[in-house]
Amino acid sequence: MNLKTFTRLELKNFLNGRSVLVVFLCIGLAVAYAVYQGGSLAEKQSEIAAQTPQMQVDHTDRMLEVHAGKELADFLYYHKFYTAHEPSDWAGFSVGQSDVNANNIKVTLLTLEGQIYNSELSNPTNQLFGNFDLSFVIVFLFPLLIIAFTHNLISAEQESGTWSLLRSQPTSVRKIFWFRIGLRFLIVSLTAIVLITLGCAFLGTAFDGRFLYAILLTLVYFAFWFGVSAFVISFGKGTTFNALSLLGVWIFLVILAPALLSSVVATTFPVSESLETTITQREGYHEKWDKPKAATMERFYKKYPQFKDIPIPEDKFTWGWYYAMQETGDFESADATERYAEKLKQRQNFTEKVAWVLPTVNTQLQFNEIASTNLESHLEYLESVREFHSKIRQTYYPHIFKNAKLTDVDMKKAPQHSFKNENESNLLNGQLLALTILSFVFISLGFVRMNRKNI
Amino acid sequence: MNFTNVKKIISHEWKNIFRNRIVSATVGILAFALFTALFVGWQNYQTYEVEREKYQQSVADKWVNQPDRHPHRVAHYGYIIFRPKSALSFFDSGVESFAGNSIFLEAHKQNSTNFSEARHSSGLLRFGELTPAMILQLLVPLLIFFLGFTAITGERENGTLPLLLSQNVSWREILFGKTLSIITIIFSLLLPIAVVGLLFWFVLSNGQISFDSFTRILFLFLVYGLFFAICAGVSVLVSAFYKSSRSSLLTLIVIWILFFIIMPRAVQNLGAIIYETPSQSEFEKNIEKDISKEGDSHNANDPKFAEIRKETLKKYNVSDVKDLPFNYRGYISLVAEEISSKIFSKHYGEVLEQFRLQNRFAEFAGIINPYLAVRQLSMATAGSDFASYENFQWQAEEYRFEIIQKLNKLYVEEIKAENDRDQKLDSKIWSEFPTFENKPVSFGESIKNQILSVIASLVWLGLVFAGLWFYEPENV
Repeated sequence: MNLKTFTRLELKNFLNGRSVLVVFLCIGLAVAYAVYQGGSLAEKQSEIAAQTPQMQVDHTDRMLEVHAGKELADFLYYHKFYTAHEPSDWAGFSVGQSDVNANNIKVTLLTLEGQIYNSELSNPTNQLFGNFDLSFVIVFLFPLLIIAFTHNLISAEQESGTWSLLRSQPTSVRKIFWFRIGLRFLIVSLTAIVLITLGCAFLGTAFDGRFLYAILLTLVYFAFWFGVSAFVISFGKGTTFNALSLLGVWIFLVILAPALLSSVVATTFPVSESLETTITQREGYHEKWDKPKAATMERFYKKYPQFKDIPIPEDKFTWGWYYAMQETGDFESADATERYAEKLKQRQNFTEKVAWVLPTVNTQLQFNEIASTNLESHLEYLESVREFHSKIRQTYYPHIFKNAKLTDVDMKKAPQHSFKNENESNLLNGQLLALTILSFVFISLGFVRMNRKNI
Repeated sequence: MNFTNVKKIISHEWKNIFRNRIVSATVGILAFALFTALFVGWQNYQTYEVEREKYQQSVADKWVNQPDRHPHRVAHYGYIIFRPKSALSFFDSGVESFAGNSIFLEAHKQNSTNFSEARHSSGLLRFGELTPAMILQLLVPLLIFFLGFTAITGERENGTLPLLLSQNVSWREILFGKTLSIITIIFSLLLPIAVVGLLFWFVLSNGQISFDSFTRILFLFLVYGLFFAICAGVSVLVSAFYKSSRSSLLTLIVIWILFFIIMPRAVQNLGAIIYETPSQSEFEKNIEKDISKEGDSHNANDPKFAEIRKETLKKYNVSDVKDLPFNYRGYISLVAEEISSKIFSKHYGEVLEQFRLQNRFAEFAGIINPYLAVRQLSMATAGSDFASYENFQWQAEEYRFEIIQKLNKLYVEEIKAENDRDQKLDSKIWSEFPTFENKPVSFGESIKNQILSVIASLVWLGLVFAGLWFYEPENV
């Protein structure tokens, strides 16, 4: 029997089963639903970002009306500057942490640390249940498909009695086995590629390097599961044993291990720095009211020497002093803020290391990275808000120290914020290598065991 | 139904099941996972509570130790509360990790509750958290399915079924016998673990377990017992339906994947797409619009307060606010705070209503999926559900309103209008303020919120019971 006929027969045999068609239909439906849900969430975020400039204009107009005739400094106490984290083109592919993290923070000229961590109005129950997006279908559901298609590759023949017939063929059964595994890998991969391509087309994600990387990642991830399946099959046990063992591996990798880790991370790296920041920025600012103005100003002049020559009388309220006090709130919480960022980095590093041995976590985190919906992307957004805030400080402090009136400044020409990160380059990394190595290890183990057991 | 027959089937099944090595191994793994979950859940709860108490105390100390200050300054200094976790959150953490942990309370505005655990997560959290509830909800049913898939098909394949039926044993007796054996096996496995868990809990909490917590735990036993009975019945019925064990196993696994993995994610967020809520910016804009119609509380001369001014002047029969027997600026602060608090509550109430409607979606889905019903019932009983989160939010707002209005009243009564800003209250007043006590949703209220889930669970139990009672498979 030559390869071509064998392939034809095998394909016919595989595709003839009614259940196979049902399974394909189900996975198609799952992808369609995932595109709908992921797309809806990303679209909502896009809308928010798109509305932001108009909301800023409306807000500024309203404030100008309500606070007309005031000093600029007084006005700026109320006026908010809008920022937005525009979702990347890939956000609908993997919602990641984007539904948890704030994406439209507003800041006034006051202490930044008291405002930058404000959160979104969100329903915690939605976040608890998680999202049904394309990355979920790939990371959670496709492995089940792989298990379903491969677990009985040898045992079914053994149980139906065709095994001895197969063994009497001149071609070695090992070869046939790997051929069948390979064929199934091709079928599942092709299905995934077609569905992902269609999904991406509907989501409107950019067909750039990220698309190729997502496909590559998916295939390596599938290779891992095929490897695990081959390894389990190589024990030569029955269908039920194989099915249950593989389901056990799936539960461990998809549910138990990540859940355990996530709880361990929360206990090992408690982020109490966040609470500390909240307290110190508030104290740092408020205690200045009860202290001599000169001390506050001295600290302030270290950063802004250009305002040194403007007198700040000790016995009178001045707006220059007021905003200087506000900024000292930031100075004094800077240390806690730094440790906060450090703690988040530690968490991130720890997770990434563990992801080396947990392909599920590894793949999910990489999808989040592609989609720029990970923690890092959010921190970059916060960084952009920090820069923006320092820009508005630089823009308005000179006017405040000059006791400008609101009418002296055109608020409609205020600095504007925009932020969008598209993670197009630097995708190849150690995480993918780890996944590749792990896949290779399991495939080889399966290979070696099969040879040894001489199946 | 002849109970001696049922008993015989049960004792026979007990002997059989433990012969299976896979079952013993699974049970071992599950017990280990449960203990790990208990330990990890407890650690998480403890770590959080220790930190929280430390920072809460620090905020309270700083408040009391404030120097002499003007009341309105203190209204802006404000207060920070850190959200306490429910005592049973170590068992079922519910939405705890997705709810904010600290809220800054100040005059004029309501801030968001910030720093949820989820915001500090690199994304791992979305796979779920290891809690005893998670093991009981997701994995124990799977074990039940493994115990049950051969219940009838096994007898069929061995050819013992006709033998059994010819011995005057009815289908009803077989189905109930098999179901009861699975239930008793699961209970005998889990009860010792539960007892050890309870003992640990008792020791770790230094014997300080409230009556409320205790009743909640008892109710949880009931809920999970019911849930396991439903799962056992379903697995036996599926086994009775199929000719081969393989088919029944496959069906049960598909049911598990569909009901336990896919449906929860698919359903809950569909609710979020259908019942839209405003973004934080829109929400703030709506409040801002309403408030700007009412006047600026920092500006007592705002023309929008003219009506109030007129009324007040008339009431005290004076022609200028300077002649009033109290501080008019403080009075405007007091009145404006009441107005803005009402506006906020109205808008926030509307958003929470939408959230509740979103959650209703999954609650209704509980009628077709008992896993969802039990999951929500468990969260509610543990005091870590949405209602508890909402309850905290309102209490925080109430507390904010209480201390801000107390400060405003001090402003009105103790601060003279002349030289307003330069006056200060004596620092001993700060210790006369109430502290924040979080009052959890009462047990009865929690259950009332989840009445739909209670009904769904009971309906399922009824359906399974009816199935076992009436089903007589054609295949022998």
